[in-house]
Amino acid sequence: MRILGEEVEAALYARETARGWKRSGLIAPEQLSAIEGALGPMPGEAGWAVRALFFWLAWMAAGSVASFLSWTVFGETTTAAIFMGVSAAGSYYIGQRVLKANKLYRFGVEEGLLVAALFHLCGALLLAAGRGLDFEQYALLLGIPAALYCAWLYARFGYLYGAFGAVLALTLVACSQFKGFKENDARVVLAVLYAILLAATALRKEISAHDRLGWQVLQSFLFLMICLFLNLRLEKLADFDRVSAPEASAFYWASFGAICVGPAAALVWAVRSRQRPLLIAAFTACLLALVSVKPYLGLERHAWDPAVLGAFLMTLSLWLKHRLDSGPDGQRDGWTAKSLIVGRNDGPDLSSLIAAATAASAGGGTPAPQDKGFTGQGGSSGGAGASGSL
Amino acid sequence: MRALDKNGGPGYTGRVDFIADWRDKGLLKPEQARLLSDIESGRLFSISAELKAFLYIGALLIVAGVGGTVKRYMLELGPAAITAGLSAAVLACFYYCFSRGRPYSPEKIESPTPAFDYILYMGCAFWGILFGYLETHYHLLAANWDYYLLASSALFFWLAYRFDNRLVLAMALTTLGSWFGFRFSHVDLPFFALRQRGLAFGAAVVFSGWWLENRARVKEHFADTYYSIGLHALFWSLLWGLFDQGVVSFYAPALALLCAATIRYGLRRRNFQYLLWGTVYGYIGLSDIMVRNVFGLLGIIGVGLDSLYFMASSVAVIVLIFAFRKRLEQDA
Repeated sequence: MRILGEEVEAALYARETARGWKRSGLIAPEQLSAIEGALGPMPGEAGWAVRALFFWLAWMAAGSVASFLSWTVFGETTTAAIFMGVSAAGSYYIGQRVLKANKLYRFGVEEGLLVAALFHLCGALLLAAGRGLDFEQYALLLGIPAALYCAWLYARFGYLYGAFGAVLALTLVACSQFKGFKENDARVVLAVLYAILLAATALRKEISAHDRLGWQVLQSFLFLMICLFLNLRLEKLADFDRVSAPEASAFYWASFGAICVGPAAALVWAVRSRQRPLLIAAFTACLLALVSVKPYLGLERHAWDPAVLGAFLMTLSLWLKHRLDSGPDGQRDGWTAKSLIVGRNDGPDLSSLIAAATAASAGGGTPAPQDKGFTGQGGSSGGAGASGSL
Repeated sequence: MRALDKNGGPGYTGRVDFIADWRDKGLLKPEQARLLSDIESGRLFSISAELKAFLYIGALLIVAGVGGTVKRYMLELGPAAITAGLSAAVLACFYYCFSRGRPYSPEKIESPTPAFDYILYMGCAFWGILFGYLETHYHLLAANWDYYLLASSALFFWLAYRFDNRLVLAMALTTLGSWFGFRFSHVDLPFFALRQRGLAFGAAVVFSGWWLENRARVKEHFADTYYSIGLHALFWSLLWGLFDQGVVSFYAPALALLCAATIRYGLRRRNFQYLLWGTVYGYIGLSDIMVRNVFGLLGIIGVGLDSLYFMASSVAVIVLIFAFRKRLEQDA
């Protein structure tokens, strides 16, 4: 199914894994060279910043072609639709060609072209359909092809955002048909849709090593979204001033039970199975459940509640680190607080830039007290803790 | 075990257990292979990143909670309680840092404890809240309130160097930039409007970074923070000037020169980040000139030429960056 074949995907994964070992000091640079030599020539990949830039430029180039073609027909919509369709096919073909002929994979250029093909396809469909359709029809017209195309992007090219795009396009289609639905009914339909998708992803038994993490990320996203859909007090979390009395319906209390029990069960499962994406998603869902308790029970919330939660998180982090560090070899049952694999650092130092952008309000003496923002990672890579011993 | 053979076809054997494969071929030592296998299979599972995230989010929530409480209960709590509480928090954070911190060194030093950097950050943030509250309540400096920014900036600079913390350094630089912006807005100086002040500030920050890195040789790893903040201030000020004054102004050649210098510096230091900035900001400037000053004058024909320009220039920028990347790889 994959355009370069499972073997090349496996080799790319192996190479990236070996590079991570070298960054972490687990193997010597000579060993990495030997490993890369043994793997042989492979498609080029780019760091996220370059990849994003190339993606944007290629997307813009493809868009400019479509724009130029449309400009030549001076508002003749049928011909413009045909040109858009041709442009979509051309973008897809060139994207695939760049990938195969130039051996660039996850490089941004081919991705920009392949994603541009989707936009041009949707543009062609819109132009062909004209202006006579209502919102539900437009959603069906665009959502279903978009979902299919995005799913194809994942299946054929391995782009994880393709899978996310397919899920979101399906959600758009579902939401467009909610006319006349009550709010709770819509929530249940969406939760059931995501539960079905989650169950469908669980049916995939043979998952290769290079696909496993991405698949787990997708499953964790679906799980987290179910928790969000079922949380009836989510939109009230930001409103500290208003206290709403709890509803007397069975659905209300069932949803409260679901958002408490589901994340806790998922957390236990994630700890047992050691799935990092699920661990993160389940913990996030647990935190959301925790902060939803007061709004659900109709209790008054205080301005210092976030500080209490923050203190709890910091204490938990320090306690867990102390507990794991005090075990034999700094580990307990295979769990460790030591950093084992150092991640890629191939983008601009965003943490210090973002911190710089917010520091004027966060750090300086300003004439009015205000909530303080903090968006760096602190410390010595522009992010606190980067030079810490965690 | 090869991914692509000489003709570009797949040559990888497809074995998932590549660690055992590499061990058998002598590429990994047996004890290395055992450890790596434990890591890859999840038998040895690190939660280091997650614990750091807890600390980070925790610090953020504490600061947000304290700020929110002061803002909301300003009248109920009273100035004495707020001032005393915030002062105690600032002192507690700084006491922790000074009692646990390692001695100053002009070289890079590691944080002594996992929470150290976050507590230093909280101390700085509480300091900002305290000064903000004091000025709001007592109006001590009235129209000269921006001197709080200058004082905060000085403190943050000192703390950043004392404890080797780049985030606090970034806070110091931007707080200084804010003071610079506010201070001179009160003074009606010719040729020193906000844009010119941005240029002066950016140039001063870049020069300071260069001086500290190459002359003073103090905390040389801080240089990138100076350069990134200073260069962005310069680039944005020049682009603003270009958008405002057009191509026949000081800003167009200044932007071209700065882009060239940044690219040259990136090539010399083999740092792709600077190449990227030079290329992207240069492209934005060039596109503005082309669209407004060339195609904009051609009416409907210009609209079509716009599309052709973006098509050709996007491809050209991709090729240019690709060539830079190749050159860096060859130089490495």
